[in-house]
Amino acid sequence: MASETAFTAGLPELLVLRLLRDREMYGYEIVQAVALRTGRVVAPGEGVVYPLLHALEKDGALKSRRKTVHGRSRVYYSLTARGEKRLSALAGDWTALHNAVAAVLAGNTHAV
Amino acid sequence: MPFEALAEDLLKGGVAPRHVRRYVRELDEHLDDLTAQQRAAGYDGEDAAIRARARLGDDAELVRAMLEQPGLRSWPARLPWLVFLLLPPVLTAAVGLALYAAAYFIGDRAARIHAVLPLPESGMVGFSVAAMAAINVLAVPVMAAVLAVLARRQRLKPKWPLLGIALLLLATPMLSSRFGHGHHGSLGLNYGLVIPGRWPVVMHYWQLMLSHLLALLPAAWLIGRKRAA
Repeated sequence: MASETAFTAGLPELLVLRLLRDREMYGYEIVQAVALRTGRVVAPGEGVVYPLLHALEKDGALKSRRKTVHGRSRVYYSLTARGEKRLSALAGDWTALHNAVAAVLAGNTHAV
Repeated sequence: MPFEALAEDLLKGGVAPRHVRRYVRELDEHLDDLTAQQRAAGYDGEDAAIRARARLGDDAELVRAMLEQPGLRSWPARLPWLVFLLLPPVLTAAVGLALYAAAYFIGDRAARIHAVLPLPESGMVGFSVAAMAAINVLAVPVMAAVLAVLARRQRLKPKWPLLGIALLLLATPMLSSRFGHGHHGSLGLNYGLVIPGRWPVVMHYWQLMLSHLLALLPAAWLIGRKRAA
């Protein structure tokens, strides 16, 4: 995914978890969906999505299965209950961060 | 094999072999999809392949992304002292005790087994002696082979499995038995180079030496692979 700073840490994870909440996908599909849904603002180096998927699966946030569709065998990933909780937590953090940054950009003088 | 250099870098970096295998396969499949996409966009043959490979990411980037996930590292890479130095003697002790318990259990029920399966007593004794000899000779070499394969799969330095094999040799378990009349007998378990009190010394050392010689084969294999590399 895109190189991370302290502010963007967790962004790739958030996007992947959110996409997989809708339906199971394989790596190539996930990368295309991220690029499409973010208007290519987030355009990861495509192969680096797999370490993230493996790590999320190891943490129990995702599960995977090999499935053959149209004669092509691929590893499909889907969200687990633990992944749902992680998604909610990450989405909450990002919403808070987004609101805070928006307030600063709007020139508000009050603490957020 | 596609991504062979990348796989080697990942194994040397401590990533678990199963994650490396899956990563390489997924990258290969992803590259196929990207190449097909480039062809559909009008790029031909080699052009499509080069553009697809660039979009996938270069080897350094792909390796770095994997190494940044500490949870994907294998136990032998993370804690080699535990896997190669601590576990083998503990496992050896456990295996020795488990085999002793199994032999005791069978011996204790010899009369009942004989009632169900009326084999000649000499045959049962012969079978027991042969089974114990096989266990005595093979248990440590099998564990040594496992250590060697674990280390080789992870591209670890041979010092870890060699030290582990040395510990195994020092702690080799040896089961011994003596059979009397009327389903009576005795059972013993020794570790390492201890001379058993209730067993013919020649038989003990014959099995111990053969076990050690066989356990050195995986060590020799590791050293050979290291020299070849």
